[in-house]
Amino acid sequence: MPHILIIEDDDSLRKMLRLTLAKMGHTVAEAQNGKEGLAIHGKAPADIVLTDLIMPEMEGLETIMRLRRTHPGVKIIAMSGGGRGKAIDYLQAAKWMGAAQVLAKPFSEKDLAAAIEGALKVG
Amino acid sequence: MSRPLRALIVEDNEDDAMLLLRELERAGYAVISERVDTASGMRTALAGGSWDVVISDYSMPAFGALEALEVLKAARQDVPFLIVSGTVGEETAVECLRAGAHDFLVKNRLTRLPNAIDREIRAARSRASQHEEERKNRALETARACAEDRLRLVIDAAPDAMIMVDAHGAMTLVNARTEQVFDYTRSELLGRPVEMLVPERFRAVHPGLRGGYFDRPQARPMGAGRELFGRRRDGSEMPVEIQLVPFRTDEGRFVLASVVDVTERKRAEAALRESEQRFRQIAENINEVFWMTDVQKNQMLYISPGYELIWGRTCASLCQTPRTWLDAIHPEDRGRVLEAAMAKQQRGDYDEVYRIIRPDDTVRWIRDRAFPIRNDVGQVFRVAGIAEDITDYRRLEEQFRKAQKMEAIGTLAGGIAHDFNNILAAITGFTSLARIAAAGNAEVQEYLEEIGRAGERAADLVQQIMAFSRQREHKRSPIQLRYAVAEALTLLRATIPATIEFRTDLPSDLPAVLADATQIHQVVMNLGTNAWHAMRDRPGRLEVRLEKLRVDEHLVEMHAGLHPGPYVRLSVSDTGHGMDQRTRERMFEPFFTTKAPGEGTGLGLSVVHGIVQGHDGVITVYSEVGKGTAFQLYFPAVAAEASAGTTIEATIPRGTGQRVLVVDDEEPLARLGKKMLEQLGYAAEVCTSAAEALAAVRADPDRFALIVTDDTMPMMTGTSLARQLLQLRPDLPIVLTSGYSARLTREQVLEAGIRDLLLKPTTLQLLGATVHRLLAQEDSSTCHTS
Repeated sequence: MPHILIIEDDDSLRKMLRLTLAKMGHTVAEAQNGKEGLAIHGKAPADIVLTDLIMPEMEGLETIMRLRRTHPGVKIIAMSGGGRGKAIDYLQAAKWMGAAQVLAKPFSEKDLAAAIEGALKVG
Repeated sequence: MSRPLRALIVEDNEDDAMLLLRELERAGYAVISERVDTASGMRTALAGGSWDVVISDYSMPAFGALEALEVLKAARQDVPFLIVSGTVGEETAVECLRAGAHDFLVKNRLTRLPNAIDREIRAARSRASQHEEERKNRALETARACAEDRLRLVIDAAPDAMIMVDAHGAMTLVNARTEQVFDYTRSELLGRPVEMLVPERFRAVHPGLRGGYFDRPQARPMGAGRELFGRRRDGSEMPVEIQLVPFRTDEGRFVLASVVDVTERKRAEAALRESEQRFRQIAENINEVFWMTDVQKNQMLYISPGYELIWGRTCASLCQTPRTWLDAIHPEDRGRVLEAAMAKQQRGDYDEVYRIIRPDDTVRWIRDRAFPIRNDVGQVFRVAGIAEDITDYRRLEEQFRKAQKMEAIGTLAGGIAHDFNNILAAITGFTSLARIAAAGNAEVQEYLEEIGRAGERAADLVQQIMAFSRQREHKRSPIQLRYAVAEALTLLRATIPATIEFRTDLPSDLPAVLADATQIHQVVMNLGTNAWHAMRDRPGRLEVRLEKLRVDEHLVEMHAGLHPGPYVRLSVSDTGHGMDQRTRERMFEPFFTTKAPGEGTGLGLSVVHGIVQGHDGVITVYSEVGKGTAFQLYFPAVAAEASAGTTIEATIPRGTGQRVLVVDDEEPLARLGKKMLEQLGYAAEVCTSAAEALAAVRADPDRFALIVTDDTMPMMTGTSLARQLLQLRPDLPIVLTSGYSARLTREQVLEAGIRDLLLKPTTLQLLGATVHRLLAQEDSSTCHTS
């Protein structure tokens, strides 16, 4: 089973994701922001990084960009609940940055499972 | 009779003198005499009186006739000088006569003396009168010469060119000014025909006119009413004014022409005319109204024609009764404006914005400024002002303010949506976890299912908000709007009762628009649904029109956000109840609704607004209470080739031939439901009454995978039908549709075992998604149980 790193600033959501992924049988690491996520990934690289896009400290798109640079093989799934008042399609942007899958919040357990499956299929 | 004779005797000899006097008296003279015998004595005597004759001895001891003659000449007196002598030679006599003596007589032959005296006195008198005549003539001559000099000086000093012309047209006199004006010297002009000072084009007719003048001479201006021109030496012309004065002298008839070069005056006049014309051009062509009144406001001194356009009243009416300007002001503004006018116009800080009501009852916004005009001594004697129509400006300002407000609400809503999605993700995620954890506890499962359903509804709402705040993902490509519009209209037509007439005009030759077909579809559905709601009480008409148009400067001015260029305009208008001012103000705001609670989310127009904005478009609304509402949506046209656009169905999950029953007592709506479901890949059947539906299910309980039923039906409501159907087959998924959700609470619906409630008019997306979801749940639960 792939090891998954969750990068999400919302505590409640991060907990939910951890529990859901654990139920699915994945091993999980957690980070509260992009900076922390990169550090954790540097020590113990994950197979999949599930990252939020709008976060304090390091913004999601930048996190994706850095991950792709330092670990070209990592599979990234980006999640977003829309921009904070900006008319930018963050999920589309994340795809351009190299995210294998995107998830619009809120998403179901099924959506999450499908995204993980899809991400693993990518080269 | 004795003649008086004053005789000066120059004689040293007393006796000889007596003898001489006796002789004179004998000749009949009454003699007054004085005898002198020296030069000085003679001078004294000459100075002391006027003498008729001087009679001198030739030779005396201290004096002599020749010396006496010198004394007389020196005294400048023309008195006859006779010499009486004793014995002198002929030569002496001749010498004396040559020296100026008038006669020479011998003492002892004095008989000739009286004759000589008479003759010489006569001669002297004659000489005297001749001298007098000559003196007089000389004085006269001098006076004439002086007068002529003065006249020439006066004429030369005259500010006008003065030219004297004789009857033949020759110039006989010109003054210095003539030389300056015409650039000729006097000698070049004198004696030449006056026509040399007339431009060539008038030369032919001038002699005739001149002749006519000599026939009827009178002092008058030349060329009454005509413009006159003079010609300078170099051939250049100048405008002139000429005054003619006729006169006659011994030498004949003349005319004196005084010529004024009016080039400067004409130039000044032309400049003034042009300046006035410029002012008029400005005053009459700009949008502002210039006005000027007296201080008491009794007199309208000037009002520019713009007044008629803006006020809708004539300038003449205002000039007649200047105080009518106050009558035109909106009653709510009148008091304030009057107060400000009285207090501030003369101070110069009058600057008021107010409304006027035109005779056609339309209202315009005016900005009016005024400043005082002072006379030479600094007193304010007039007030001048500029009034401008700022109605358009205010409207733009208002549009801008609204746009800003919508932008702010959009930003706020977008921010809320983002946070809300995070929360929803947690709620739905934990719900899923809870369902796994509580497997086997049916009661908890049921509650969790409710939480999940509520989460989905919340997610749907957030999606709408995001559409409004333009944050929902959409893919724009060049499309023909008519496909998406026609598709939406087909659904609307089937949904909306036949009492609402549809008029559509969707030409096929329109340019493409960079758009998201799904969103255009939603726009038409939302606007169409609103139109229907507005016409629910009575028959009406829905008009949907697409047209191409070129946005010009005028439209750009009218609507902020438009740019000059080609557009495609989508108009959706109804004949419904219309909107009042307050509603129009707020209609695009999210959650603003005029519908009863529960009947609408208040997001329909917000979503339309967001979508149009997201398409770089502009939406305008015209609405009148009781008449209807017209929305006009402007989309920039693109030159690219248009595809038909992604069809809406492609984005909606499709069925796989499952059989679905649609129950609706209104046949068109039943047919709509059938058609929609068929489009989505289901096998649909229709029942138009509850009884019919019951019969069909009773006959074959597993025939239908799902039932969609209307709630408001005669005889039996959808809710009752559902209860009875579930008795026949408890696991039958039933969806209730209702136009009036307020009548029905969700609790009631779910209590009846109905799986979901859809608000009418439902959309293809919503129906498709709901049916697909319920059937998918059915599949998984079936799998689970099996």
